[in-house]
Amino acid sequence: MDLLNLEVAQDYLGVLLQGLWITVALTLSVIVMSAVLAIPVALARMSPSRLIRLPVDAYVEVIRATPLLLQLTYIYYVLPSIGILLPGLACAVIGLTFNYTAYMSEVYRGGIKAVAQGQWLAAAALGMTESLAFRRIILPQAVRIVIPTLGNYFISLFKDTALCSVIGIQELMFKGTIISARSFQYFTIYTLTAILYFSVGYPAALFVRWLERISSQGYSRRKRA
Amino acid sequence: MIELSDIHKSFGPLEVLRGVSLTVGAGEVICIIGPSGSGKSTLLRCINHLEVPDRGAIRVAGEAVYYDLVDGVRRPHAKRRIAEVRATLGMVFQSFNLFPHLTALENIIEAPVHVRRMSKEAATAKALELMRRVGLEDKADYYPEEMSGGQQQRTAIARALAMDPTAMLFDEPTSALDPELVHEVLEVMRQLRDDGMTMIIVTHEMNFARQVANRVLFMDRGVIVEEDTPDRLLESPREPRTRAFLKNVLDR
Repeated sequence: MDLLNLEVAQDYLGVLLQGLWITVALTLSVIVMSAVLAIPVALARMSPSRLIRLPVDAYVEVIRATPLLLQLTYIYYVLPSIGILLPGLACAVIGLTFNYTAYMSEVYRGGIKAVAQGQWLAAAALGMTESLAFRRIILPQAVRIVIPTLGNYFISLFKDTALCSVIGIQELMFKGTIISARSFQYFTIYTLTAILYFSVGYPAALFVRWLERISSQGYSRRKRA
Repeated sequence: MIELSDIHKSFGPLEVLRGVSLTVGAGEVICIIGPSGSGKSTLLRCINHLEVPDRGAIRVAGEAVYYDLVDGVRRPHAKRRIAEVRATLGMVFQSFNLFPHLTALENIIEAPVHVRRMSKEAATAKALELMRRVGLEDKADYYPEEMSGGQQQRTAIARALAMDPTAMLFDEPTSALDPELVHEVLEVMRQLRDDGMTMIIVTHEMNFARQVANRVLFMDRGVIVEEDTPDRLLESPREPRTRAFLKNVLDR
């Protein structure tokens, strides 16, 4: 077959794998940071104090109502004009984390609300302060509720990292675009790029499905005789 | 031991408590009966501040708790101080409210370890002893969802006892149970009474109230209508409202 040039594929596989590595590293660091930062953001949005709630509400609404591509571009091209100059990779991590934290805070908020009210009462009756009750009783149950949803965000983040190619991050999409333009082997390179995305994305999706199954199983871990 | 004076509480336009006063002595067992919506559960929740009364004062062991009244103005205590008082009043809920992500044993040691800073070993030893007392020594590693309602409620009682409460508050502890599981929970409560525990029990179990209570209170529409020894109140109530309620309940 003329379209798929295996020699070209072999030549450029190494470069594309470098890109894939950046993509994976970017995904993992952003998902971890977002999953942690989204918890205080969710709490702030549930705060009785307007002073705390309003700015955080504004942040989440701005993020949700504007395109991620614009957010990344903004951080990369506009911030330098007000004197904030960051390396490209930092812009990518910050932009994606900002975006995903906002969405995931909504997920946590739902999860926290979904924990039965009686759990707060029981914790309070045992002399726990609100913060202790949240940490020890509410959060572990909320996390379990939100895990399937967070898993889906994890998959979509993996694909969204491709947007970072527009701000010069040398991740998989960027590499694919550069190489195919240079070699004119569009079919081969983009196909290979797609295969590489799929080879990570599909197992990740299977992993998320497994997590979903585990988290729906309830709390009885062991089968007893 | 516990003194409530002139407690009022409204939810919006609904007056749930309309001036309730009650004194419970150490070692006393009080049963509160009455139709649903009469304010019994709200009253119980005021005692450990899960509900904040609109008016009135609460004293535990002679001391004003949760807030001070200074010239008629209420000054709430610090949250930590409130939590400390709560920890001395064990509460058992109708729906158990065990922590589903923790095993029975972990449920029981949670507060001793994280609120009282007890060592895990000491808390575990104590928890196992309590589990034996409520007849669940073989269920330490079970999660709540793996246990029957009666077992869950006995675990909840053990969890409350692990904080060495000076009194226990029971909010319809057997109402969510299948009939055949009721007696195992009542048995544990009877044993607590025999050990001298101060208890305030909101219940629909008239026979149990008759057997264990020193005093029975009948509440209706936010006030204590009548209080007396169980025999007198349940056999020959003076108030027509009490009579009507008992007739209703006993005819069922």
